[in-house]
Amino acid sequence: MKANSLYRIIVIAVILLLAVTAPYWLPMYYIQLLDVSLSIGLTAMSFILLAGYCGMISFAQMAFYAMAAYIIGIGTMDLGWPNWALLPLSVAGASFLSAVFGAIAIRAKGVYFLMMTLALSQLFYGVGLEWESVTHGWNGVAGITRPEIFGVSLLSATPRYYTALVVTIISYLVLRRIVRSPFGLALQGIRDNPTKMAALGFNVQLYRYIAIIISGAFAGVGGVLGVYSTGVVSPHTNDLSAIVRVVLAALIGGVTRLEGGIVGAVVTVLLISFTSRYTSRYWMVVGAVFMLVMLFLPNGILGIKLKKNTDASSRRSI
Amino acid sequence: MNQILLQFVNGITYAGLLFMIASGFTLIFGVMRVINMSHGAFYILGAYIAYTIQKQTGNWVAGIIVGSIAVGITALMVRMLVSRVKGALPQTVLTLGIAMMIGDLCLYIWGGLPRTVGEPTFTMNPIPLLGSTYPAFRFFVLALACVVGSGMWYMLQRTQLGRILRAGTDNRLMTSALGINIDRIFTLVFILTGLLTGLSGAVGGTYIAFGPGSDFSILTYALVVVIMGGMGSITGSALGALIVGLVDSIGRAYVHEVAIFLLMGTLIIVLAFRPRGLLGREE
Repeated sequence: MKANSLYRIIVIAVILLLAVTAPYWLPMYYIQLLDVSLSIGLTAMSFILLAGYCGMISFAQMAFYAMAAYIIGIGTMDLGWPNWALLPLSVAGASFLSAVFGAIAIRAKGVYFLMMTLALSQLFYGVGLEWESVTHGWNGVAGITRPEIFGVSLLSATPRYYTALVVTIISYLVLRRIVRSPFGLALQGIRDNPTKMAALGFNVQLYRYIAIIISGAFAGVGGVLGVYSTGVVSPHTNDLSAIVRVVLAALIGGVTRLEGGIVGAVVTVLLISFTSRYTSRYWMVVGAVFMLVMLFLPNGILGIKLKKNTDASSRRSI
Repeated sequence: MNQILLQFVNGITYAGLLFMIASGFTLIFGVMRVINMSHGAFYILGAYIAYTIQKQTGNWVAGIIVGSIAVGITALMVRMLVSRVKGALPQTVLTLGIAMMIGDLCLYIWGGLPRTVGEPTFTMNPIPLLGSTYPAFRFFVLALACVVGSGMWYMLQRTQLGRILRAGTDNRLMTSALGINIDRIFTLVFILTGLLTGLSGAVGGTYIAFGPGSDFSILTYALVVVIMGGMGSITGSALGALIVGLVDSIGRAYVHEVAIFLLMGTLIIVLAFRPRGLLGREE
């Protein structure tokens, strides 16, 4: 037990040390990749909060991400609003969108929930594409200016990376606190046996709904990091390949642990970056990796938790 | 007044196409509980193949036939991959990877420009309607959708295969317990859906332009139609297609760029009163 916790502390210390010193020994290009990974990893954690801890596969996380990114982009470039107002507003906007989507999708379970969230997410893509007077359509908002923190502009990669690192670590700690709290334990109880939890007096739907809104807020934080790291928001922020990227990150990292989202995001972003260097068909490679992960690691990665769900639903139908 | 009627006709012919797209999607979902995320990719694959064949031979019908068969074969391969994974949720997630690959393959072969399949000669002459003319091809799409719809209705209601499919939709375990090889039925449903979606792609590609990204938007329409109509119900898909087609056409004509909100609003209102869709049943 003691050796185990010592081992954990060493691993955490080494990872933190590597992450903090990264700008000193990694080329700038990789720092930018890590920056992007953190924004995707944060969103993947919000996916894992729902998938791993509530048994709900939500394909709408990138819509919440894009909502926050659009608020930052339009607010900065078109409206000229100050950053101190836009930051809370963007997270609030993402939470609001998740509250709306959640209210519609909450009544569906299992594969129906996935379907609802996907459809809603795609309709949001349509809004970004077609509501041109606000969202600037296909091209979106580009060249978004970054704010300054303590007099340092986030336009340069290193301070942006450190900011993203701090935000991601804080978000991780908050999420970990949530899943270990009585509320989080209740969510896991609902995931495993909703009927029993309802019998024990838990308001099952309310717990699920709150979890969706929390995950929407964190996906929104991911969106803020993402829009500052790329400087662009467009319908592609929320297209099928963006959804694939987040889901793949969560699958590679493992949906049963929050930190898996970050690890998976780093692996996914590096994979896309490396393959795009050798071939322009990198989405085919990503699709193939995605398929292989599903085909050969279904139990280790997605299987256990999800299978329980599908089994339960098929048992009911007999 | 004529303008409104014209949009109405537009909406109904568009609904015909939407129904053809959604019916295969809902068939797979009804029997297998799998959301085939590569449905939109099937559509553009059919459209691209029909485009190439039509361009090479000048024969539209040949393009349609080759497109349908090619997508039918693709669907068979997808079915073989999907059967390697257990459970509806992992199967659904798996089809997302397949969708990426097919979409990227199409981008590689046909490039990034939007395309349209050349129109067949028999619909070259516009039909006079309401004092102006109307593209004959759109009426052809509507007629084809009616034929497909009646064919599916006949198959589902009057043939042994249809009875098995309906039984499978109601209770998959019970159906296989009765000695029906449900795996073979799944394969059949996938091939049928592939043929149908390839056909919709080829016909739809003649109706409206398609390109990279169309796979995504077609999947959206299929999802919205099926969710609105009730998942797994063919009649529901027809109803959903009619509503989505009309709302979308009239919305695009009168409120232009916020038409998507109209569609979203309709979906929300329908789901508020009928959580399982218009003709959906409780699980």
